Amino acid sequence: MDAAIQTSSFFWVIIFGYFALVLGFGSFFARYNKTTQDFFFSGRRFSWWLVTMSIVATGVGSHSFLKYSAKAYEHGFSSTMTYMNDWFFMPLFLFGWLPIVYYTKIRSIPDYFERRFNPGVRILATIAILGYMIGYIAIGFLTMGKTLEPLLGLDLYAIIFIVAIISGVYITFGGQTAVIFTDLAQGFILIFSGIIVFIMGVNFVGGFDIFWSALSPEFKLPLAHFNHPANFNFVGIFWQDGIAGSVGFLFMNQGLIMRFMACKSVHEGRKAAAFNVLVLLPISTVVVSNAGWVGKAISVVTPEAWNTSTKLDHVFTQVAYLITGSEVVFAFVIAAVAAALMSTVDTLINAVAAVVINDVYKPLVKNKKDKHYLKVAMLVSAGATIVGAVSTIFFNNFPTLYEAHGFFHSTMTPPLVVAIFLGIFWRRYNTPAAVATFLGGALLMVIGSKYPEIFISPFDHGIEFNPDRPYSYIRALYNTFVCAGSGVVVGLLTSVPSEEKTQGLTIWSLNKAREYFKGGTPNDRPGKIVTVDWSLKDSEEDVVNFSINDMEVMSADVGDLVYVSDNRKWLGGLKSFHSVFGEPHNEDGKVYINKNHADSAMLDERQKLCAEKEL
Amino acid sequence: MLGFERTWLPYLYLYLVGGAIFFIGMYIILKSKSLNQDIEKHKKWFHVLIFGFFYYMGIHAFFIVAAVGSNLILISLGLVLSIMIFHLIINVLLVPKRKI
Repeated sequence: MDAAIQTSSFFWVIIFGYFALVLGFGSFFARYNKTTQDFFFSGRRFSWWLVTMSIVATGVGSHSFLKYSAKAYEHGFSSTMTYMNDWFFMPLFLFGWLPIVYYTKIRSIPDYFERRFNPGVRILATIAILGYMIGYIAIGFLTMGKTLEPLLGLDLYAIIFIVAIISGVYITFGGQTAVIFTDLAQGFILIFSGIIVFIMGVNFVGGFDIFWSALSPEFKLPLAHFNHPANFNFVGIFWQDGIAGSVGFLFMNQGLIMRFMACKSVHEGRKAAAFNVLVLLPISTVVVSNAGWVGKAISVVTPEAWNTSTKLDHVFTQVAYLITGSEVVFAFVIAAVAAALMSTVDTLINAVAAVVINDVYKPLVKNKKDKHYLKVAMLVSAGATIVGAVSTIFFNNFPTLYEAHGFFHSTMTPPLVVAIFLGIFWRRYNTPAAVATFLGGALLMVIGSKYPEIFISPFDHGIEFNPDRPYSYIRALYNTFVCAGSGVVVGLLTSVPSEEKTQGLTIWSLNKAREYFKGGTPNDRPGKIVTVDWSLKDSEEDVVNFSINDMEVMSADVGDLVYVSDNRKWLGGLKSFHSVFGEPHNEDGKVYINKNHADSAMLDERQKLCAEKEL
Repeated sequence: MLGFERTWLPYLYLYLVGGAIFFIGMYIILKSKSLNQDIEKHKKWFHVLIFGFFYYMGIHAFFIVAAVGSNLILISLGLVLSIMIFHLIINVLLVPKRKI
C-alpha cells in the first residue's frame, strides 16, 4: 500500500524527535511517584491552571481532530455542538459529584458504589467502567492509525501496534504526575497548532471575507437540523453527546476524575472545571473543527486543489498537508495530533490501572507492600494498552470515527451515569435499585437494540429509521430512560436505606463528607496565606508547627488541615504537601516540618514556603 | 430560506431541555446547601454558574443570527455578551471582597 501523502525523512525526524521529547518529559516527572497515591492522584497537590490545561489535552483527544474535521467538512459549524453543551450539568458536577469524590477519598468510581451500596454493585460498576475506558482507549488508537495511514502507507493495524508501544511505555513508568505535566505541555501545543491551521487555512483561501462568503448560511449554523439526516441531527446528538456523553465524560470518566482529585483542594478543582468549560472548550471546538471548514472553503474557492476522493476521516490530514506548505509546519501539526492521542490514551490507561488495582486486585491480594501494588499498576497499564489496541478491530467497522464514538457513548454510558446520578442526588436510591439500573437497564437496552422499531421509535423525535444503523444517537435517550426507570421503580417499591448508610455519600450530607475528610469538625473561618522559612524537626509525626501569630493569620487551630507549597507559583504545586497543624511556637515566619514532608515534596532548601489552611 | 427546524427549533429545544436540567441542578445544590450562599466564595460561584448558562445561550444565538444574517441583532447580541463577560470579570473575579 502506497502513502497518499508524500513526506521526506526530515518529516519523520521531527515526529520522532517530538515523541522522544514527550517520553523524556514524562520520565523526568516519574521521579515524583513514591507511592500508588502519587502514581494515581499525584498526592492532591496541583493548582487549577495546571490541571485545566492538562484537561484540555485529555478532553480534546486525538479522535477529536479527525472526527470533528470530518463532520465539519460534511455539516459545517454544527460540528461544534458537542463541545458547546456541557454547562447544563456544571451545578451538579461542581457542587455535587466533585466534592463527594474528593472528600470521601474514594480511589475509584466503583469504590463509591461499594460505600454507597455493597460489594456486588461495585463489581457491576467495575465491569461497566472498564468497558467504557477500554473502548475510549481503542478509539484513540484507531484515530492515530487513521491519521498516519495516508502518511505511512502501512497497514492500519501495524500503525496502531507501533503507537500502542510508544504510548504504553511512558504511561507505564510515568504515572499521574507524568500524565499531568506532559498533558500540560501538549494542551498548549494542541491549541497553538489548531489555531495555526485555522489562520493558515483562511490565508490559503484568500482571507476571512472569502472564507466566510464561500460557506453557505446553512453550513454556518451552529446547531444541526432538528431531526435530519439520521447520521447527524441535533436532537440525536443532544441526547447522545450533550447528555450521555457530557455526563459520562464529567461524572464517570475515571481519568478526568483522577485529574480533579490531583487538585490541591475542591475549590481549585471547581476553578479548573469552570475555566475549562467557559474558556477552553469554545476555543477547543474551533481548534478541532476548523480543518473541516477550511477544507470545504478550499473545495469551493479552489476546487482544483482539493482531492475529491479524500476519505472523511482523512480530511484533517489532507487540509493540514495542503495549507501548511512547509514540511516543518506539517510535521508540527501532525505531532500535535499525536500529542492529543497520547494525552487521551495516557489518562485512560492510568485510570484503568487505578480501577484494576483498587477494585479488582487489592480486594483479592490483600496486605502487600505499596511497592508491590505500584509494580502491578505498571503491569496493568501495559496490559490495558494491549487490550485497547486489540479492541480497535471492533470500532473500525463503523463508517466514521464520529459514528463509532456516538454508538459507544449511547450504549456504554447510560447505566453507570444513571446509577451515579441517582446515587448522589436521591437518598431513597438503594442497593436493589442500583442492581436494577445495571441489570434491568442493560436487559431493556439489549431488547431495545434488538427491536428498535418497537422500543426506540417512541423516542425518535421524527428521526428516520435507518435499518443498517438504527437510531445511532437517539438510542441514548431510550437507554437512559430504561436505566433510570428500572432504578426509580425498584427504589420506590423497596425500603429506604438508613441515613447512616448514606452519610457523606449524597449531596444532602456533604458536611459529613467534609468531616470524614478532615477527621473532625471543618474550620470554615476565612484565613490568609502565609509565607515562611522552613526547618526540619526530628519527628515522624505528620504534623507541622507554625507560630501562634501565623496560625492566627491563617485562622487555623491545632488539628486543622494545612497545605504547604514552595512559594514559586509557577510550579503549580509540584513541590507541595498536605499535613496537619501541630502545637504552635513563638518564632514568627517559620515552620517546622519533618523529613518525610521535605522528601515527598522534593523541597529546595533555599526556597520559602507558602501555607494555607485547608479545612 | 432556512426553515424553523433548521434554525431556531434546535436552539429552543437545547435551552428548554438543557435549561430544565440546569435549573433543577441549581435548585438541588441550593436546597441541599452544597452551594451555601452564606459563604463568600460560594456567592461568586452562584454568579459564575448563572453567567455560564446565559453565556452559552448568547454564543449560540449570536452564531445563528450571524449565519442567517441580521447585522443589527448581531451587534446587539455581541454587545450583551461583552457586557456579561465584563460584568463577571470586574464584579466577581477581580474584586474578591466586594459585597455582591
